[in-house]
Amino acid sequence: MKKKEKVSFSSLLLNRRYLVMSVVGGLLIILILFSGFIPQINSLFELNDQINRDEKKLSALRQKAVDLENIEAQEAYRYVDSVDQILPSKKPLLELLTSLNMVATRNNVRFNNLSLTPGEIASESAEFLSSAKSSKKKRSKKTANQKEFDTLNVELEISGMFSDMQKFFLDIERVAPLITITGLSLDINSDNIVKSTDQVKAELVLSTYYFTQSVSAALETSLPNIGSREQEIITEIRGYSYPTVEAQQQVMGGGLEDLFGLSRQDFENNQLLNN
Amino acid sequence: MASINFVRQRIRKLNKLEKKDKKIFKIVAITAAVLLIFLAIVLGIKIYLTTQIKGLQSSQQAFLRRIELQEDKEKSFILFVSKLRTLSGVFQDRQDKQDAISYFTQIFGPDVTIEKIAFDAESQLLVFRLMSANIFTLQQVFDVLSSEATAEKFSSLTKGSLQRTGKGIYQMEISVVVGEIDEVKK
Repeated sequence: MKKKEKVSFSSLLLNRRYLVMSVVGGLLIILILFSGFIPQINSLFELNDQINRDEKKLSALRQKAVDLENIEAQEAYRYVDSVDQILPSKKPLLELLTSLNMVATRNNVRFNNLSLTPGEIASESAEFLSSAKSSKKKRSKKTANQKEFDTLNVELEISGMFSDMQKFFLDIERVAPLITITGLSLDINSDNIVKSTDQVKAELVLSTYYFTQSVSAALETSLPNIGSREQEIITEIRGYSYPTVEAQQQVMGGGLEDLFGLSRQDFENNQLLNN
Repeated sequence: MASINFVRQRIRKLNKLEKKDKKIFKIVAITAAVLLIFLAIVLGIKIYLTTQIKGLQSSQQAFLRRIELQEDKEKSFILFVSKLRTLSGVFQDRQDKQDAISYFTQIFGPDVTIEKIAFDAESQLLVFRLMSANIFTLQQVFDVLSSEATAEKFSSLTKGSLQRTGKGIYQMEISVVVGEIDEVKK
């Protein structure tokens, strides 16, 4: 029986060799089709998609590089310092006091009282705010403050002529840092209707703003556009006053007596370092 | 007498089968060859596309390096635009408040003084305390507050705390929610 099977297989190879080769060829075709051709075609489509993505990315990067190189030529970008002064990245305590003083002097208004709660004098700048999230208090403040800025409130009591006071109210909202009157109460001495020359007192609550948003950008994202609304803001702040906070150039002596009566000793070079 | 030649018949049959098999083999061979040519073309295209991707990626790296060199400038610009956008919102709120104040300070005339203004930024509630010289001026105030123009601008306007001083001066409070019209429009 075994011998018979052997003979029939060899006769098949001998007589139907083309058929056998066709079957083998057919299997080879199926193998090439499913393990080579179709995956390669799929990978071609994937490569094509990747090229499209890469071309888009490249075009965005090229645009960004060009935009960054030409950034200083933008008209709006010239006002970067003004915008920083209008909305600083830290609590603008000194700047606020300087502005108040300037506007009051300009309009002949006197300060009778001023109170504020500055909190932390030197708050972190906006860029580093994310690193300062360790404190639970600050974290809650940040979540509550989704509006990108915080305010510093000042309560003022001022006095002056009613007409000067009205100018002060208008002027105070047009200085850097940005100030808004959130409360105003006029203390009119007489029971009559106030005239422009009358001396009046006013209690004011002012809010000044500072930027607290943590700004981040990916390397591949394009630069933000300056739209028409932003242009309007720039036009608006052009007319603002920007008081300069004078930096202290030298340490002035207090003119006090030397209570200890000790003569000043001169230290030899490096004596302190060596000790 | 008919002779039966089984061998010839068998050979003829085998020849027929071989011809048929050759035909099939030819088709299979041509199909395999075409497939292999296509596969070679596909591989060629793949190599071309891969080279193109490498070129694109190296260009990307070059631009990324150029961008990285200007990181400070980028940070400064993004901060600048973010601040402008924040200011845009603040100015809008302020503008609504200023518009309301300027509206109420101008419409009443010289015989009416605004002696107190309070503004709550959270609720956008603006409260005025007015002083009116006499009952006739107060009537004018009421007329202005009831006018269509005022109602159109400030739908939530409320009046209250009306008082009369010993010298016949009338005091009253007006409260409005600013920025309502804009919100309705949005």
